[in-house]
Amino acid sequence: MVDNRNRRESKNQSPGDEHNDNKATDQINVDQKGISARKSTISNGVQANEDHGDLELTELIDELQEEWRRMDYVLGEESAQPMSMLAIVEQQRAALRKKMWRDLAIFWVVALVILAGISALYVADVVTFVIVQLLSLTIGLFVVFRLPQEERVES
Amino acid sequence: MDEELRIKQAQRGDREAMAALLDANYTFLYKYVLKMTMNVSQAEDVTQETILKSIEKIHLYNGKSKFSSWLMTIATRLYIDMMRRKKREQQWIEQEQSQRYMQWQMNKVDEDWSDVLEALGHLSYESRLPILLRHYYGYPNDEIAQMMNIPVGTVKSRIHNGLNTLRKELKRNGRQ
Repeated sequence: MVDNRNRRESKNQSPGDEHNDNKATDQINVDQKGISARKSTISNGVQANEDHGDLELTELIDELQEEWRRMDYVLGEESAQPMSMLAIVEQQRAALRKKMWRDLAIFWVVALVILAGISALYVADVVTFVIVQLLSLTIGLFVVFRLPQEERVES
Repeated sequence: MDEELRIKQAQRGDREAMAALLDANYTFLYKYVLKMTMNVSQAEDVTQETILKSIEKIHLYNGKSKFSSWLMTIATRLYIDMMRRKKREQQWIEQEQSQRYMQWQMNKVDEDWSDVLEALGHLSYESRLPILLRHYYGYPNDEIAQMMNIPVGTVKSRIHNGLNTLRKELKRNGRQ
């Protein structure tokens, strides 16, 4: 399409126009040279800027490293007290273990009291025993399934 | 004594071995944490918490990385958690106070507080951390990503943006 149009244009040209055409072509060439020269200047400039930026970053990193090294030097040797920290951890562990044993003991005592009461009730009156068992089951199911849902809604 | 042997002994519950291990790594850890936080009181807190956590979790250390790197990972994550819990305004006030205190400490030993350190202190911890790990401790980006629990791409962008922010900050202050 473009080629056809060019051909058509060249057919319509008069011989006198040839000189003007040559001049125009020369002008275009000069312009193109100018553009490419400008392009190369711009790309050189961008390259130079990038190089300058990289150089700045490298210098900055060097400076940072130097400052960190200086900080390390100024700080010197810090004295640790690992034994006291170990003692803290062991104390915490011992306290936790003690608390767990205490909770377990309370659990067993409460469980034994309840079992003893239930056994006494079973021997004395079976109907009351069954009512108590059903009530306990209902309360237990309510606590297990209802309360966690309410907690989730609140949170 | 070999560090590996000490670690094994500590994992079996040897108190002396654990103490020796922590003693050998304490200074290194504290220096790292101070450079990471740029805040003396935070550095002390994070170091202590790291030590306590390492004592509790020593059985989980698998020997894939160096013991000091393992401590650094614990400290880094503790610090990130600590900073996330704090409000931005509170972070800024604390950082300012700490900067002045560190400046005073440096001046006390005839060392000047450079504008690079000042700019570093004002840089967000999200950028300061990967720059420190990458350009001072020489960790590769993927390890930094693991330590900070973030993607590798984020590490790269934080380092790049952080360095550019520092450069601009220093230029604004009439440097370079």
